[in-house]
Amino acid sequence: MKHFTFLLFFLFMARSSFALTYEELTRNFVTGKADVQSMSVLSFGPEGILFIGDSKAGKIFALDLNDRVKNNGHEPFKVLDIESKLAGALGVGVKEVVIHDLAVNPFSQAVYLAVSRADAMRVSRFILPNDIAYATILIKVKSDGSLEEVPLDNIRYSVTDVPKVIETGKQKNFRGSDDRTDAITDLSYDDGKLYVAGLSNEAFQSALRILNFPFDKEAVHSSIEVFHVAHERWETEAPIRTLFPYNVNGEKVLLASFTCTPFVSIPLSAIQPGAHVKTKTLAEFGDGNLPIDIIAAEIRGKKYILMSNSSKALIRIDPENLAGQKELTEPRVSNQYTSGLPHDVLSNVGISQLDNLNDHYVLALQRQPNGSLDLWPIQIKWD
Amino acid sequence: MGLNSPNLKNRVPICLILFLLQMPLQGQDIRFQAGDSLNPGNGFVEVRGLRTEQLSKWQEQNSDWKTVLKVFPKELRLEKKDSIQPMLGMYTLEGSLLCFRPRFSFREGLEYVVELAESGNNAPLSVSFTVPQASRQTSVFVEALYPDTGRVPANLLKLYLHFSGPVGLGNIYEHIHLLDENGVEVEKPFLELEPALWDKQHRRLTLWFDPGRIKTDLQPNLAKGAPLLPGRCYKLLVSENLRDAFAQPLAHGFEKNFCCFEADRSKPDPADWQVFSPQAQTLDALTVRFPEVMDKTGLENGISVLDAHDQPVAGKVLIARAATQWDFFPEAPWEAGDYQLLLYSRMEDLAGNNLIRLFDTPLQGGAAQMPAQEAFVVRFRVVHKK
Repeated sequence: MKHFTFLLFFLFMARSSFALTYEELTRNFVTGKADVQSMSVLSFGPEGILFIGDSKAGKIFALDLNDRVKNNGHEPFKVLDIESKLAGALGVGVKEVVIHDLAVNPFSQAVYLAVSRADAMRVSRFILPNDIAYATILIKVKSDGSLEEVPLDNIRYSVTDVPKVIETGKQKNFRGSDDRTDAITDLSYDDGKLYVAGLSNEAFQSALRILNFPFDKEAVHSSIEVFHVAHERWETEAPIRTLFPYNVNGEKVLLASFTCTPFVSIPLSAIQPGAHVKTKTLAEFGDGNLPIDIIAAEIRGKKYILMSNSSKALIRIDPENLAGQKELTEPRVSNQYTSGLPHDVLSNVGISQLDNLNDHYVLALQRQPNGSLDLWPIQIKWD
Repeated sequence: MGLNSPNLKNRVPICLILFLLQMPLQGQDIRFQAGDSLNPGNGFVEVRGLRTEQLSKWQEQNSDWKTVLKVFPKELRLEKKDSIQPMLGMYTLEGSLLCFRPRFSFREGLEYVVELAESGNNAPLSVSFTVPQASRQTSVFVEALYPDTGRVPANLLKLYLHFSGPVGLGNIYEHIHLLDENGVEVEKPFLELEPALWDKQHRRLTLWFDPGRIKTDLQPNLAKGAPLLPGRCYKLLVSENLRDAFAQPLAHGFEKNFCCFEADRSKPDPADWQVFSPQAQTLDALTVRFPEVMDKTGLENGISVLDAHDQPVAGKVLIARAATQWDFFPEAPWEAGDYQLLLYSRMEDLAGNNLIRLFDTPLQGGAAQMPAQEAFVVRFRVVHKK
């Protein structure tokens, strides 16, 4: 029996080791209306499949965008004043469009935005787009900078429920919105698995789930506890705001960050069904800030981790420092702003959303000093 | 049934109210057809009487209708020129009638410009229209302000605005003003918390007078002085421009006058409170009367009633006489016997002084010591009618 269990485990692990083809990945997709209620987070999987975390519906949609013309180019991509373009296309004033998330299709390098028509003036360093509106419009930014809507009423898709998702109307978060808006705060695909952060209806609300993709009935649900240096305590109610999987010395971990701004690592092996996982706090990047996106990028030939923020410039981390960083378990001393992991805070301000564009550029959604919100390429490699 | 009846929508056949608001535009050819009066933005733009030669030319060139007929929010178009793109939407052509229906509805109250391509190098024919506002049957207003007395202590700490329906999240402080008796606006009297202090239903807003200005000798107090002064009178104004949860302005504004007496620097003392016991076998109110106006919201949950077995008595609380009286109506008739009132020390007067601590207390030697007492106990007896 033991051997049989081992064999099953081996098969389970092996399953994820072979890259599935487009046909295999989308075999269980159906064609019809994808009933997305809120595009809370966007993230690309393989073969141009877009994952949409829908906090309102408590579901994750996988869309086949039919955007599969491989682009291996390394050109920059820039759209100035994207807000005005969106306002024109959606027929409202320039302060009435809100971008909730950005994702670049790694297959085609096409840029997608989750958008709502809402009062943009209500967004602040603490009030997130998802706090004020449900994004229901998926916009593709074409290579000429023009915008088109991706209609969801006749599309190939697959959908799954997120287990134990926090119920609506239970309580409000400190930002004044329903906790349900944080049911899914981020998701990241890696090697057959979808890592999904957010809030659950359990006593320890901060949750991390691992779903298989293609979706099946299997789901691993763990609760998360973080030592919060700035808040001077362990916390179980604050959701991970952004995460992504990363190899540290051959071991795969999730790197994640929380509001006000602990940066942690979570060994994948710790995430077991029903487990309560204490994360390892590697850094405190300062209170008064919400982390938005973490990506890895090779900058001038060297690997880095980049993290964008609601009210702090881009943070750059040298991953070589990850393994040796001692866990932080002590509250900050008075007037201390950051602690732990050495890091740089880069010169570009106003960057909210961030994604890899190609091997020469990272794409940022950046509020420029003149107020213009631009899709702006950050060069990371020169020929 | 009058035309303004709120039930109009439900009672009158739908065809009667789905009339299209026709708006003749500058030219003869282009017009905006609004949606129904409840959703005027749900309309479309149509071009009538297109010249045949123009039509066939477009069709010959296989023109994309997007390049022929463009609709923009007008202000954006004037400001951003060609750096923006026209509204997304669907085009249909029937005979010589070209119709544009936007993917996302027009915004009420917003002005749009329609541009129709002309032949050759001629500038496009351009006409504008403004989408009418929907006729709303109901609208939110300020139902009440607490404290609801005309006289308050100069160190008044909190105001509560009660709305008749849910109110939106943003930009509230710019619609709430405090004027003195000369009509001069008091500069930033309230603590402008973001997000503001709403109850769960978004119907009660708590406004704190800036505690830093009330507390003696704190920096804001020294710099700007207390927001309210004894012997002076004020007017609180809530502008109708404050938006409800559906972004509609209030049905009407609100104003309330009050005057200030000397700052209240004493704790409410339960020894000064009068308790009036009800009679057994009645549903009469148990009443507590206070010699001063209390903070209504704190008072609502500030007192519990326990029976002889220390079990809470179920009933309903009413705050009466401008929050100088607390009435408790039991669900079941009172039984003769001994009862207790638990008076929670967190209850406050209008100046934020609770039963054990003054709001404006100088800190002695670091952290303030909070007395531990949670509740005062007052015993009373219910007896049969003599």
